Amino acid sequence: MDFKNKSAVITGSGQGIGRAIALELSRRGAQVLVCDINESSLNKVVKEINSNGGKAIGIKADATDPDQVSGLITKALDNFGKIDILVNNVGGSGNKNANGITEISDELWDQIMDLNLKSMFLCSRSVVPHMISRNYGKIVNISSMAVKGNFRVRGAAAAIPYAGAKAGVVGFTAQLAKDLGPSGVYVNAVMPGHILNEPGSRMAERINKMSDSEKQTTIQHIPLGRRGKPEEVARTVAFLASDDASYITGTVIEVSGGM
Amino acid sequence: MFGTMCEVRLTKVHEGLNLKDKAGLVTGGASGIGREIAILMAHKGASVAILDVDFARAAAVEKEIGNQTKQSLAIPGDVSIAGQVEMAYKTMLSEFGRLDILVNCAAIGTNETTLTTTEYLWETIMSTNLKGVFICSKLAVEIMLNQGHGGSIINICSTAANNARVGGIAYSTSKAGVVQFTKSLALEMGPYGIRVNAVSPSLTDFDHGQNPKSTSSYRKAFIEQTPLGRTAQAVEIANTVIFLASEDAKFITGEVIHVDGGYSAGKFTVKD
Repeated sequence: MDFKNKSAVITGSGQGIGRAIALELSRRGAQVLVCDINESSLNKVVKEINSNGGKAIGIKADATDPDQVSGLITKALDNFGKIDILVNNVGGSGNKNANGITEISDELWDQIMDLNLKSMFLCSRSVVPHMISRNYGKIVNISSMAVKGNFRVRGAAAAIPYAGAKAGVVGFTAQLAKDLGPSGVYVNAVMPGHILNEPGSRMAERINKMSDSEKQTTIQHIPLGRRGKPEEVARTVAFLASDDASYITGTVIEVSGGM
Repeated sequence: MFGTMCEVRLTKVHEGLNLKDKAGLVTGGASGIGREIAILMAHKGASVAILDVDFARAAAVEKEIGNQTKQSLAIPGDVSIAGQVEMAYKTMLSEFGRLDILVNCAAIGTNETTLTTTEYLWETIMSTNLKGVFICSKLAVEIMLNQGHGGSIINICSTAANNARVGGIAYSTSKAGVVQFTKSLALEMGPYGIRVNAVSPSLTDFDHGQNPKSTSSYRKAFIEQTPLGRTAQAVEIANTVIFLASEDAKFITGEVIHVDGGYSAGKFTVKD
């Protein structure tokens, strides 16, 4: 197993893509720290992993809060002794729909920037000194094809701040990779397109609420003709976190079916 | 038989990267990056055809793989000549019965500026690097469409496609063409489950030595601008090709993956 003796922290891993990443890394031998703001969903993922012979611990934390983030990293180090992999997965376009820029309040803008960008900054800042000290680390950030203006359904989410924040992920990734390359710490990003998460997840609920024509609109621009699965994103994250990607840093891989 | 890095790989392979029962063709597979791709692909379980103008060296790779697994085939041919490529596919299909993966790796480099590039040299570069990709891909998708179970095409591009360099005028232009060819063909072939992607390496060493085309001043300048502070080994490019060819990359198409030590992330500035 390629992640045997590796340990990983995955933020926002109580559901959706984050959950799939935790399951994939665990399946391939890593011990994982499942972190989410929703305690019941993170407990489910921890149970799922541990009952399948994996090793997971769960921590409820808000990744936008500096104190909670440093507590999270400390707990990971206490439990695992080291952190090889950090996946900055937590993010999202919020729960409010907004049809255009004038519908976006200051609060919504800040909330989406914090959730997608500040969380990534805080978690990376907390873990990087440890990774530098070991001369080893893999950081994988989750961006989105929304960066390219790919939200097809108007008003489905706060697409404008979300696209801006996810573009920020790309710049952060490139700059941090340049900074940390000489220290043996790799930083890359994955850019998922339309991903259909497991039933009950936020994304699945959002797609459920769409009309048939809206559903059609979201997939007709995907050359592979379907939405992606969270595990398909997870496998690319795993590739970047693996030693197969030993010469890849500062880059972004689109997992979008070609859109 | 295999180098140390490949032996490590063997113990690490996880099922998502398994290419068992697949058949692939690697152009330019007789040497350098192509050779490493052919060897690794066989290592992951695929049958591999090695198409190259240098038949003797292609046969040596066949022997190297064949001794281990009995699943490789060297074929002589020039990627820029459709008749030869057509023959190559015929030979491959009669041997393996299928085509699942095409890796377009055959390419030639130059170190000439615009003023010293002759029309003949320009055409030679474009023929191998760009027209060759078109010819090999066109015939491959015809076969894959007939087979009806999708496929995966991986074009070996270069960081030269988006980083200009004095001396790289024809090469950079040809590789930029490969990027757009990749994206365009991915759009056409998506509905048929044929994925088309590219891998963009930077300066890559192989065969336990330095890339013979790199001068020491170029190496020095390149390494200074590369966050990882070293050149690539061919197996590191091959690992990404295998990932793209595998089930693990089932939702990836039209994408270019940079395997460049961070070179493309921006010009690297060393801290004082």
